[in-house]
Amino acid sequence: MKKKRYLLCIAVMMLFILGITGCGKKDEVQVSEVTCVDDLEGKNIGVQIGTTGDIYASDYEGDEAGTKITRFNKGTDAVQALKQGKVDCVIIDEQPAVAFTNKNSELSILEEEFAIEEYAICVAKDNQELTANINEALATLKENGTLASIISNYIGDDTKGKSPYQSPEGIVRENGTLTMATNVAFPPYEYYENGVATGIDVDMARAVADQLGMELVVSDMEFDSIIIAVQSGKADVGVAGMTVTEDRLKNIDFTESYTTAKQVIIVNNGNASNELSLKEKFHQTFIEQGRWKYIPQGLLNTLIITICAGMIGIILGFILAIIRVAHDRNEEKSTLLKVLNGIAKVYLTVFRGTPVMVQVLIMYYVVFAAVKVNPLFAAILAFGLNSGAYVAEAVRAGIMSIEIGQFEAGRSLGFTYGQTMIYIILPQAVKNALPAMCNEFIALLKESSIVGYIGLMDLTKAGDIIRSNTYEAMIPLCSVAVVYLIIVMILTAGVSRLERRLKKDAR
Amino acid sequence: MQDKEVLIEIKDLCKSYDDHLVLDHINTTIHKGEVIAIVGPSGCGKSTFLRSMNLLEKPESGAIIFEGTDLLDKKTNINQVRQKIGMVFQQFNLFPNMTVRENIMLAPMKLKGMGKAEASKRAEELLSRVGLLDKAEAYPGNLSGGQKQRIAIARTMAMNPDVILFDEPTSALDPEMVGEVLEIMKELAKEGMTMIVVTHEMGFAKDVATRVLFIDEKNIKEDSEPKEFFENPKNPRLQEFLSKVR
Repeated sequence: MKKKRYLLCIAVMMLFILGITGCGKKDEVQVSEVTCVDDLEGKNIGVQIGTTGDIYASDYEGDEAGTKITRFNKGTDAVQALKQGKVDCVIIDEQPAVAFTNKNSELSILEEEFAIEEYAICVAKDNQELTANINEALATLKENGTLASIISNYIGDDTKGKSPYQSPEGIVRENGTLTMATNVAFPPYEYYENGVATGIDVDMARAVADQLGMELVVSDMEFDSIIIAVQSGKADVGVAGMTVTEDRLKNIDFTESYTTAKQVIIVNNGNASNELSLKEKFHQTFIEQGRWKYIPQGLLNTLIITICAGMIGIILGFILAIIRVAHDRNEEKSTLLKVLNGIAKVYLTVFRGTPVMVQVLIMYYVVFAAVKVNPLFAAILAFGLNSGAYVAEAVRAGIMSIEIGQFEAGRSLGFTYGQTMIYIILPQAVKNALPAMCNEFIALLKESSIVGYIGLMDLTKAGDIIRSNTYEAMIPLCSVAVVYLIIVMILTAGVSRLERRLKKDAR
Repeated sequence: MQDKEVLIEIKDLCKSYDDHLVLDHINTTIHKGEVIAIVGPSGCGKSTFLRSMNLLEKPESGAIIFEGTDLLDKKTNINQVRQKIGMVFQQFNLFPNMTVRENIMLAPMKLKGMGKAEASKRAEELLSRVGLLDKAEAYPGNLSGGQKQRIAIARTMAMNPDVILFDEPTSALDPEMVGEVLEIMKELAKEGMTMIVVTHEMGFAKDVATRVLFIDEKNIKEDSEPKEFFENPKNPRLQEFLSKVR
């Protein structure tokens, strides 16, 4: 009976989502009014945050015509918004624009180019030795034609796919790893193919690493995190179709340029291609290139973060709660207890008073700025510390709800404060705190969806990767939502079962 | 009575809440085997006095000497001493998440290192003494007030205390259940258990107690044997009090 109810729940949810998306389709997308650069004033311009497109477009922001800039985390998100008529045009680098328009017939590139710029690799300011080494390697690659061959493998209808880069044989990689920060949603410079990051930048960086006798590691993160990651030493270089700008030069060094590119404007021409059927969309989302594999991979990371952070949270939460209660209930307070209570109070205030997103970013880019650390570890630690604060309040409320008489009964039998807590108070308090703790873990599971910001692929990011490959939002996003929902329902069922078992003794 | 061994000696005990003095230099001596009833108007500090004897309330000054050790001495391990001072509460304070058997077994097992089988056997003995062996597997929530208080007494007895403090043990009970609890206490008294009982049950004080204390205005105002206490009270406040409760 129970199982049927849950299945029914999921089915209703799916129908609900389909219903919503069905409604969305009925709106006709307006043909864009932008036909040249001069038309940009007063329009809603979509850009990828932190790109040169963003920097140029920002000049229009706040003008008299009321131009609006909408900034997206990914180029593909901006393109999707354009397809749905949410923005009037998108300013983006030429090559991704070509890739986008090839896949979406209703999009076209305006002939008039917006700006010309040069791409370069960014390196931390204090790492000038690496900058010099890369410049040397780039010079060699330019001279021997490798760079041109890599670029022509991705750009140009005639040459595409004809000259894939292959590492020369017999390379000794004795100089360690070269970690490359990038945002893998920017074809043809970087994109996923069969689950592997590839593209001009990736191949070029690999060629550079080969020259330097290093092993290339690709770290996928949000575009606006790349410079910070390189600055803080999380990555050695940033290679992401990145243009040299004055503002960027203040924070980071650039190597010599490895290619030039144009900023162009994409608009919606109204020639929407035939909408794929649901079955075709499903095939495209999951079956093509084995894209379904992203989901279990992402889910694994989501679960690892939730479970490990949850355990840290429980341990920390109990310690904090016991300190707070010991302080509040004891008449005679030792100095140690007062100090501990002070620390606990500050801790609770800070961790409950700031967004967990900011905490994760601080943990990765500030606390671990100087050390190379696995982002998974940083995420677990940040979420664990955050969770500890909420569990502490739940447990404290649970302890405070136990009658003082229980405590006195324990003490009068000869139990110490600690024994009374462990044998008598906590077993009862946990039961009272269980619903609040369960809510905290459900929140933790859902909040873990932000770890994409520090380059981790969790469930949400997995859906995003698929979405950036297929330009189809509904199935990846809804699938991810359903997976979250199922886990939350399993969790809820588990806890209510536990609650029932505990309630048995408590009448 | 004088030939009996001294169990507790209380010297100049003072206790106040913030600036409000509740107990003012109380002195008394309790011998082994005595059953002491403490009576007095509500708010007179009789419960505070009782709770001071195992330091659930911490006195400001004075001395509580139990079997030769001063409880207020900083070097005294109060947890060790409390194992020998049982306590029964008005609100029973049984552990609601444990069965009756587990309630009784917990302290002997965790504090005296008693094995499970032995503790269980001991729990059964005590349960049959309070007439509730059939409730061993029940949870406190399913018992009547009188049954709960009898279990609470058994739980205290499990530690083999040298004295048991009763804090208004029958005040939270429905009238028809008072008798069964007093009956158990009477039996304990007969067996020679030292008991200190804060109570409103004048019948119990008269019939079972060996000594009755009247506390009023922060101090012991009358301290005599029950016959004398009830038939020939000397303190005018006690005379007034007795005239009201009778």
